[in-house]
Amino acid sequence: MAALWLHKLTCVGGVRTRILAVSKICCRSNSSSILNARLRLTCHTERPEQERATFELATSCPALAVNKHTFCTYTSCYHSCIQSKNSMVRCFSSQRSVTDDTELYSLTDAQGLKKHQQSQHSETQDTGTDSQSTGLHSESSFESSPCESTPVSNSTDSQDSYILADTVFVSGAVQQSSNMLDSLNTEDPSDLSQLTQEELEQLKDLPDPKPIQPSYNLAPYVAKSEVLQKLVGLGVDLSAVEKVSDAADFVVQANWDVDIQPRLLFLRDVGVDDSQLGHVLTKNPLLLKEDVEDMQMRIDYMHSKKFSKDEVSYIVKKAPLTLLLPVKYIDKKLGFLQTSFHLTGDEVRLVATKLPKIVPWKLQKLKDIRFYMKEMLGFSDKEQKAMLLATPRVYLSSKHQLGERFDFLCSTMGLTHRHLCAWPAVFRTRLHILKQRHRFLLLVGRAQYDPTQENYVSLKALVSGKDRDFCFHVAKASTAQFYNFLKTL
Amino acid sequence: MPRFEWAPAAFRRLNGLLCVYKPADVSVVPVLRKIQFNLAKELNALPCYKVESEMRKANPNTDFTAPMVLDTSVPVPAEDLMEHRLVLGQRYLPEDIKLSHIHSLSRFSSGVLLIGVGRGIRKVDLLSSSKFLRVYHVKGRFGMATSDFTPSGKIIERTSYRHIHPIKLDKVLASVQSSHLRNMFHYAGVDPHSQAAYELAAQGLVRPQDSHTPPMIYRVKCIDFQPPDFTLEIHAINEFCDYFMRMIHDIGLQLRSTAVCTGIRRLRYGHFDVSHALLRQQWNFEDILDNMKQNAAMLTPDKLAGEGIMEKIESQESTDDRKRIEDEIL
Repeated sequence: MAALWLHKLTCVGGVRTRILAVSKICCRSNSSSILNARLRLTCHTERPEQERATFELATSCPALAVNKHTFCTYTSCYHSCIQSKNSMVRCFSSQRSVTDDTELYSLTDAQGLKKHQQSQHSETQDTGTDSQSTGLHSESSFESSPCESTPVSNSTDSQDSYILADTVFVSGAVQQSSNMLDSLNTEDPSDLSQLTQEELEQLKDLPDPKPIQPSYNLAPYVAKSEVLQKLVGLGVDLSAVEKVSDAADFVVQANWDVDIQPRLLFLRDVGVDDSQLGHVLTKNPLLLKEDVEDMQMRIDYMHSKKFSKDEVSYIVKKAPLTLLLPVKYIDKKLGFLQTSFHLTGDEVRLVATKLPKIVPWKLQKLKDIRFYMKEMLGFSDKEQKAMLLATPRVYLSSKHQLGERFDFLCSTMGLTHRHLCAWPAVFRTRLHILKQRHRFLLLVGRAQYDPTQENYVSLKALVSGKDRDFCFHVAKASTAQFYNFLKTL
Repeated sequence: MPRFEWAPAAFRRLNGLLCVYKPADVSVVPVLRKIQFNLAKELNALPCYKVESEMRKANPNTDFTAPMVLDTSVPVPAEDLMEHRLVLGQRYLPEDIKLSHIHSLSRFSSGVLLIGVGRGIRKVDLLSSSKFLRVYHVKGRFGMATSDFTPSGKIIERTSYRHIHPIKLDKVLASVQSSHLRNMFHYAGVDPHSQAAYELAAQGLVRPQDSHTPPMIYRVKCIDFQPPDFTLEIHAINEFCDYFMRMIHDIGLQLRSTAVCTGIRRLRYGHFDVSHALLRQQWNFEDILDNMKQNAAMLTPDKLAGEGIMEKIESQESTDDRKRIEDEIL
């Protein structure tokens, strides 16, 4: 997408600044996800005595599904001084599609400029600040101008035939200050050659303005925010953090010493390795908002239930959400496991350590599966306890999954509960693997699942291992034969 | 993927026609999604960002999908940090890989399914207008009639089938075939007694003129008969899986019994055979690339049939050129 703009830019007539090089394009675009493009364009103006302008366009734009022409951008323009006779800055700052809400702001368009000057002067009058801050104010008014200024329609821009719908482009960035505006208040407002050298220097020294609009992702802020840079240095995946609601807003405004450092120290005390801190924060960014004392209470509770330090740190590492759970919740979960499955204390700790995910798992879901296994599939309490201790993950499956596998295993393969309890992981195997391998064994005459008879094929041997291992060790056939067979199904 | 060092280079190769063996009990859409997922996963395992290609040169075994920690001894400038996997996320999403299939198979059926990938999607129209002949093995079972023509439906009727002899079955199938062949020229849009019809027939297979005609069955033969089960080989154009199910049901009725359809399997789609098709285990990047390369040999103009195919190819090529230039700029 980015290069498509480039192509069109160079074809558009009347544009004084030509894009000569695109040094970096990082673009991930498709019809339904957020376009995240960053261009660094090096521009030369046609006037050789003028500055080379380098500016960055950090854009995040959702490309809408149907019509590739409608996409909108958020631009945070970093202004440097470019003066060219007919340079225009167009900042597309609508929040919806270009065709709906785009408002163009043209600084050299006489009509637009007047309005801008009016708003500028009104601002300065209101605040009565000095030129330096006026400069900043001009930025802010510039920033807010897309909302306030009149939309410039296409018809007024006859000399520059911009293809609005397809492209966003910054053809030249003009740094505005009140001085400059005064000097511009001439017959030809676009003639900026009247600026003195000092004024040009002044413009260069002005600080970068804040980003204009909120962004869809954290990328534009990383370069400016030390907190974000440090987090990335730890290994926090910001693209995952921004998917958690409220997490991105918090992280952008966070203070390292007050918000983040104490919690990192807390995690270290719990026993999380430095190399794992990033992973824990990625999976649970909201722990940065959580009170350290509350989290410590939860850790203390776990210790009081005789979880060792290593076990607790493992649980925190594998299921970071545990730190956000109220103590009551964790207690209820462990209590349910103990009472429902008749587990000892050691066994509860074993299950929680074997599958830490079970701690934040919804209690009602666990209850449903326990009920389903008992009443519908007919597993006794003893069998269920054995299955939980062997493969707790079975209790994280869905009823549909369990039901269809159970049906095939018992109705078609002729297995019993005893066989299934011996290898409960079969409930986590995909059904098509079971079906393919069983049918192939039937073909080669090796489908023997009775342990008391010869040539016994255990469920573990049937479902674990890749095709090659299965074919060689169990079916005693070649992979080619197996694949040819699969093509007859 | 040992063949590639740089994800965008690999992504650029993902253009062509893919031939896949669709498993039974899976709709076409999950098949496409699975292929997209697998391809995106493998692409993301390669260096996608500039920083990463340098990391790979330093250590060839770096795993880019595992949670990574930046090496703080080597300070990364803030601008470069913006283009990092930890900031922008995975470069390739499954939706980035464009797939488009030709002539869907129902959830119930299995077999050869052609999928256009990336720029290969432009070939999809060409291929469907070529009206390739499709060959199916349709399995049926005598003795019951169900609500949805499959054994898993609600059983409406049970009948005996012991009176059914293979000769009787062949007779019924022959009548089905001849009734279809009678309509062959009508579907092709010519009067059967005209010169145009003769010329069409002289050229080879007389295909229907467009995709909106009723199913045209050129051949039905029983290749296996183990009562109550039987298998038919059907050569057809403009068919759909539901039609075969109804056909099995009707055959049962004609034989004074009932029948259900126990399986539909597409053996061949024109030049593309089951031997060209990739199984689920082979839906990975390198196998897909090899498959596309193999299929490219069967997409030459002489292999494509149909009226006006040369004009279509020429118009395709002109749009292809324009799009290729645009893509190259990207």
